[in-house]
Amino acid sequence: MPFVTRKKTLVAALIVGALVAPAPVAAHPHVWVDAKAEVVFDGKAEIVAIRNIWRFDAAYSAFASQGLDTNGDGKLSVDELKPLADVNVDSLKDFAYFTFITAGGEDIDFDKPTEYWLQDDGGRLILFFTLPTKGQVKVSDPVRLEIYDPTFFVAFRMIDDKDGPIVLDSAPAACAAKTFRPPDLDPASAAALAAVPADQRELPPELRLLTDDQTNGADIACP
Amino acid sequence: MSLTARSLRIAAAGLVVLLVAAPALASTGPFGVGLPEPAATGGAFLPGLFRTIAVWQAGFYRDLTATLGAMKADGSAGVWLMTLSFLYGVLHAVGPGHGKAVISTYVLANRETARNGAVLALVSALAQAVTAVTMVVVAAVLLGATSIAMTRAAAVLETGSFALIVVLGLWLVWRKIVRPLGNRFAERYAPVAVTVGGAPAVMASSFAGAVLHDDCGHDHTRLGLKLPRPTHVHDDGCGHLHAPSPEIAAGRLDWKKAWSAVAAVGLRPCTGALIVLVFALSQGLFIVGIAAAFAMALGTGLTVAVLTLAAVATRGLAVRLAGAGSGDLAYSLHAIIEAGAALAVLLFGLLMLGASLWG
Repeated sequence: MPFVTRKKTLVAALIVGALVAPAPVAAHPHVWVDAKAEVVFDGKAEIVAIRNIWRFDAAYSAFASQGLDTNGDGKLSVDELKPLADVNVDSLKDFAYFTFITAGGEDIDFDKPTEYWLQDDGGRLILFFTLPTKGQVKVSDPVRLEIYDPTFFVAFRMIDDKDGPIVLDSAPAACAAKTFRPPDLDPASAAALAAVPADQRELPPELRLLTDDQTNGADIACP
Repeated sequence: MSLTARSLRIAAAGLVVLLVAAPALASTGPFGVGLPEPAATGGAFLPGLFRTIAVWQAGFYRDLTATLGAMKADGSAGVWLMTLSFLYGVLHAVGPGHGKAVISTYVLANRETARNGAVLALVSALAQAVTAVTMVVVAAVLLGATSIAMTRAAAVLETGSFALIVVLGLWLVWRKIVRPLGNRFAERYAPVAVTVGGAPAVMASSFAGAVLHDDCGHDHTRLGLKLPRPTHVHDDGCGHLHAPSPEIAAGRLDWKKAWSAVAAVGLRPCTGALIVLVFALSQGLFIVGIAAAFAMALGTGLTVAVLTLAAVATRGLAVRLAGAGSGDLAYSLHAIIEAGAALAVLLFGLLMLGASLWG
């Protein structure tokens, strides 16, 4: 086989290979969660637990609660939702509960959830669960709390609520939380994203914000 | 009773068994309910583009569920709902997922025609919708099963789907790599009784043309003459082309062969479809949900069909690029493409199965 054709063969094989290669990871959310968190302090500037309150979207709630109205009264009681809450909390373990705390650049681990339950809020399920931190977390430097899904299966967003999305429980008066959210992917932003040429690797800064891992959470400081 | 009705009954019975006895085989997602899409760990090929697709897909999916909710009050939203479902299906096919990878590689490995590839793509996407609808009908409507049981069953089906891809890959590797090589080996080192010119000469010429042989089962060097390269000389009596056109190689779609590819893709119900179906059921709009699931499948199927056409066209282009018409080079190129695609199916299946079992 002459050299040139061999090279051409290689090129051709590469083209076919590129076409056939498995698709890269780019999941999209199937679950939307309005998140709220209570940061539990020990009365000093030390965090001992996070109480997560997550409200699911209507479609996912309907799917998740399928078959759980065991007494058939058309209502979902906390007891009826118990098996689902068990599975939720047990499965979340493998995903680090989608709750991440960093203090002074160090990741803090959690113990198993101590109390948890699901309740129905007019067709939307709300999951409550408390995550004790492994040991106290000193808030000498600002502590960052993030609630998000790096795999993008769940879209988390801190809610706007009259108490605010982050409540500091038993914290010294000086402590405060500053919330950050993923940008709302409104149709305009989505269109702007779509307009970025496919061969452009570097997104403009205002768009990079849209795609940067969709971080969601709060910075907590006790000055 | 028709074969389809019977296989449907068998499938339904199997599903019941799955729901009752499904062990927690695979990881079942962060909430234990609703499987995340399996994602092969590929290269970071055009990450921005795929991110954009994911963002669009998320938007369509949200609109879709919202519109479904609105249908309860206002039936006129139906057309919009079908449009959204179709578009979601299109993006679903462009985004992650194993369907297009399996179908397009199967088509390449088997040298199927463009038409056969498109038919396969559509049928396997529709099969996926049938799985989702069957699952929700049997599990949710008939058995009143929980989402937990449904997700476990879906996880088992997913593992089964990946196992089928592995089987398909093994079969393709056997047919496209092992057997042709084996035949060549056998014919090369066959007893030299018929050979006049002596074994060493035959072996030498065969090594030179190792890739150029086909598995048509006879030996062009049988006469034992020392052949100059190219190794084989065509004569009219030979009765075959060494690079048959796809039409000749594949002909009409052979369902006996193709069912495995359809099953491998169709066995895994899509999570989005399951959620939409159960949500529709909870809203008393199950028929609308079924229509939406099939609109999604149509969008996915047509898109994968287009991708498959692209794969077939690229194969043609590759052969032309190499400047090969129908000679030995075209033959070897086809053989390489087929072997590569067969290996790709096997590797893809192993990757997905491994992740599903031990991920």
